[in-house]
Order: sequence, then structure tokens, then C-alpha cells
Amino acid sequence: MTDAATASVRQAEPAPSVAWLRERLTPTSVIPMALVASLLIGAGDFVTGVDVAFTLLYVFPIALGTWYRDRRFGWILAVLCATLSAAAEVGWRLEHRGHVRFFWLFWNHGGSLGIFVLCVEVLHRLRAYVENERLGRRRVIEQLRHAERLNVVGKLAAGVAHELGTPLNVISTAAELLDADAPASPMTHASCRMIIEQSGRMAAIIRQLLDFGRRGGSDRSTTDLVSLVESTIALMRPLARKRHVELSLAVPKQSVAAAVNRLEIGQVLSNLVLNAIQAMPNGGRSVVRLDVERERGSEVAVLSVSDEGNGIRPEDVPRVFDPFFTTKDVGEGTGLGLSVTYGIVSDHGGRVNVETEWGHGSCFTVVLPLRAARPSSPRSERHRRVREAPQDGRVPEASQNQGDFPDGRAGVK
Amino acid sequence: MTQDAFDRPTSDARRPPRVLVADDSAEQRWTLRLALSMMGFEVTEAADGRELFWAIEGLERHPATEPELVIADVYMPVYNGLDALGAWSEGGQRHPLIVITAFPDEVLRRRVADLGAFLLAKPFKLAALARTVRLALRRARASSS
Repeated sequence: MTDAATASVRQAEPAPSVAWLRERLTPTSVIPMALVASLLIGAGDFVTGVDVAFTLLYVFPIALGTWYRDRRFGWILAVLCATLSAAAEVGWRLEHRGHVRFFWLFWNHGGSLGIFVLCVEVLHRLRAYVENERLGRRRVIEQLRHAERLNVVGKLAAGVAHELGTPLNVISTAAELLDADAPASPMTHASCRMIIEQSGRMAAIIRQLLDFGRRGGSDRSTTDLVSLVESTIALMRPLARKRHVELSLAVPKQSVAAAVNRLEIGQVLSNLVLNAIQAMPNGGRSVVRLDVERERGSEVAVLSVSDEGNGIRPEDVPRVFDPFFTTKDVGEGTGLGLSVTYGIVSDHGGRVNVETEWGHGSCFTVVLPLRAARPSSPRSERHRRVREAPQDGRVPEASQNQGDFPDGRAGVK
Repeated sequence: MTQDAFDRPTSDARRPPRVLVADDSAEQRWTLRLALSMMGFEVTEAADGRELFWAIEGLERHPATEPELVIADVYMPVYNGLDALGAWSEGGQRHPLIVITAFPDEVLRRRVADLGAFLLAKPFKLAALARTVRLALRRARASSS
């Protein structure tokens, strides 16, 4: 049933002969049309003496067929039913009266066929509408669930990173002190170096977790995205050449100004390009594209990076932004690149989409608002929160605690 | 770690310069005390924001000729480190300040910059600590003379 439903949704192009009708068929326009048609049929039945119930008898299987299969199936049923009823009437008349009035046949069964096709069209459109609505709702719920999960994971990551930062610092400082203590054996020295080096590695991971988990408040300035993209891609070219990847760039001729943090958006782009390069171990082509589009009345910058790699397995798609989720080989990635990308982009009020087909490559798209850049100063941030507070007299959490950071993290442990 | 308390002036050679270390982690205070005393400083400790506040009061009561360094963590019980330092800096008292934190974000950086303090992100290397301490002392001396 679901397969048939999605098939009917996909089959969006109407047959050319009914394009005119299809345009005029809306859930409201159908009612008077159906009334007129059934009056005509009723009149035909009155003249020819054929029962209206006979027509209705056919409508039911046609409707069922259209709803559960598709439009074409409904049409076949409609033609079949109209032919059958015409044949039955011809047979009946020949037997009982010995003659056929072709005008009546045409009037009656032509009219029935019209009603049947109308019924097919209406049900098909209704079905597509219901299905679209259902899919749209499911998609929104999925997106919300995903964003919520990443939000929770982000908070957890920030908490873990914060709590681990101090002990890690103690470990590395103690190791340095031990190492600096004069008459140490070579083994002590080597062990200390190892402790320091490994805690440095953990520190790097913690920094990335913080980048993913933080919310609000990086310094933004008006930046030309075109030059930012060009300079970032120039940095990535040597690596791409080494991996036999052709990086092609398509940017608008005029500059695209946006209030962003230059370093962070550069990091987003280089993460995506690095993923694209690593997705094509045997080389290939990656296209980086920057466009300006209108979306719900405001301008957005759309930055996309596509590759010709293997794509992402369908079951992995919902998890690509999760921290520590990686499909790369050990040592190639920590699984934080896309998480950091997600964190930075949502911090800028934008979003990241991924389109992928297993076996045919992926395309990551970053959508950034151009005009309405989110205020990043603590003051305006706090005001925004107060404005958004429910109007039931409760004081929003963020404004109760003056010592707190504007993103809602407690300032005091 | 072989340096003596950095650029200590000869006039006040007998008394090592004081450093106030505020962090809620005892281990962190211990390592900082060890590192700083190896650098030749006399270290006093504070375990939370309130202790930090009163310890600065102590430094104020017994002013030395030398600028005295305050190293404070941000996330601490009672008051957070930045608030405690902010309260003193509003009173016009200027000690060289170093803020250490495991959570350096832009908001924090701005607040630290507003205090005129140095920011040191955890985990840091001892060399970085030494460098920051030297920078902070040098700036304080330059502004006092």
C-alpha cells in the first residue's frame, strides 16, 4: 500500500488529455461539477430507464482501485465498467425490445464514463494530497527529533568537555613537572612525554566537542562569502591534487555579504571539502557551489559541496551529524567534523542538509541567512530570550541569574 | 622552570612575589602551586569565588611594592571567578590577572578582555603558563611605572 502510495505521489505529470481538467479540479470546484454531472446522469437515467444505482455500483470499485492502486488503474476500471454497462444495455435492449437507440446509449454511458473519470481524478488528487501531507509531517517530526537529539548530545558533550578539562590539565601539568624534575631516568622522561602528548590529543578532541556543544556568541563581522570560499578552496587544492580529486568551484560574480565568523565558516567549508576528498579514495570530481537564493521572503546563501564517492548508507544518514559517528578508517577522522559543522552552522542560524544516494555520491548543503544575522552580543541575546518568554508572569531562567552566560549555561557550578 | 620569579627587581629580593591561585579543584591548585613555586613565586590559594574575593581583599590590605598576580578559574562554587574579579576591578584595583578555563568561548573571551586579563585555556603547557605569567607581570609593571 505504501509503495503504491509513493508511486502515485511520484507520478506527478498528468496525462496531456486531462491536463485542462486537472488544473480546474480542486477540492472545492469538484462539488458543483459532481452535482451537475449527477443531475445529467439522473436525467439520462430517467429518459433511458436505466437505474442510477447501476452507475453507483461501478463507482465503488473504481474509487477503491484509484485510492489503493493509482490513477491509471482507476481509469482502466472506469473504461471497463462503462463498456460493460453499455454492453449489458445493448444486450438487454436487443433481447427485450429488439432495437438500440444509439443516442441514448451515448448519452447515458458517455455520461457515466465522465463521472467515473472525474471520480478517478478527484480521488487521485485527494490521495496525493493526503500522502504529501503525511510525508511532510513525518519529515518535520524527523527533523525536530534529530535537532532535539543533537541538542541534548551537544549539552552532554559540553558538560563532559568542561568536567574533563581540569583533570586533564592536572595530568599534563603534573607530567611536565615530573619531567622537569632534574635527575629523571630516560624511561621516566619518555613516559612523561607520552602522557603529555596523549593528554594533548585528548585536549584537541575536547576542543572540538566544545565547538559542537557551544551555543551562541561567536564574533561575527560582515564578510564576503565569495572570497572566503575561494581562499578556503585554494588552501584545500594541494591535498585534493595529491588525492587525484578535481575541485571545481562555482561562485557568483558579485560579492555575497553575510555576517559570519570568518574562521568558523572557513572551518565548515574545509570540513565538508575534506570529507568529499576522503569519500573518493580513487579520485574523482568535487563541486563546490555558492548561490544566493530567496527563501520565505529573505535571502539565504546556499553553499554546497558534492562528491562522486560511495555516498552514505541509508541507515547511516540520520547519524552523520552525531559526535563520534564515523565511517572513515581508524586514524582518518574522529567523527567530530560534521558535528562541529552542524554546531557552527546552527549557531549562525542556518542549517545543513545532506542528499545522498548509496553508490552515487553525496551532496552537503549549508544554508546561511544573509540579512537577519542573529545578534551575538550578550545583551541583545538576553533581551531576545526575555522577549521569547511565555507571557504568564514567569521570569525566564536566563534573566534570573545575572552571573550566567547568555546561552543558559550556569555561570556558577 | 629554571627561571626565577620573572624579572624580579633587586630592591625587593628577599621576599618572593606572591601569586594568588583560585581554583575549585584541589589537584589543580596543587599542580599550579608546584609549578609556580618552581618559578620562584610564593603561592596563596583560594578554593572558590568567595575565598578569591576575600583573598584579594587580603592582598589589598597588605600592599607590596610588587604587582601581585591573580590566577583564577572561571567555574567555581559560590561566585564565579569572573564575577569575583569583576567586583574588584570595578573598584579600580589593578592586579595582573590570568583567567584559566576549560571552556573558552567567545563570550568568555570578551569578558576576559573587558577585565584586561589574560586568558589561558585548559589544558595548558607549563611553558604557556610561564609565558602568560611573564606577560601579565610585564604589562602590570609597565602600567604602574
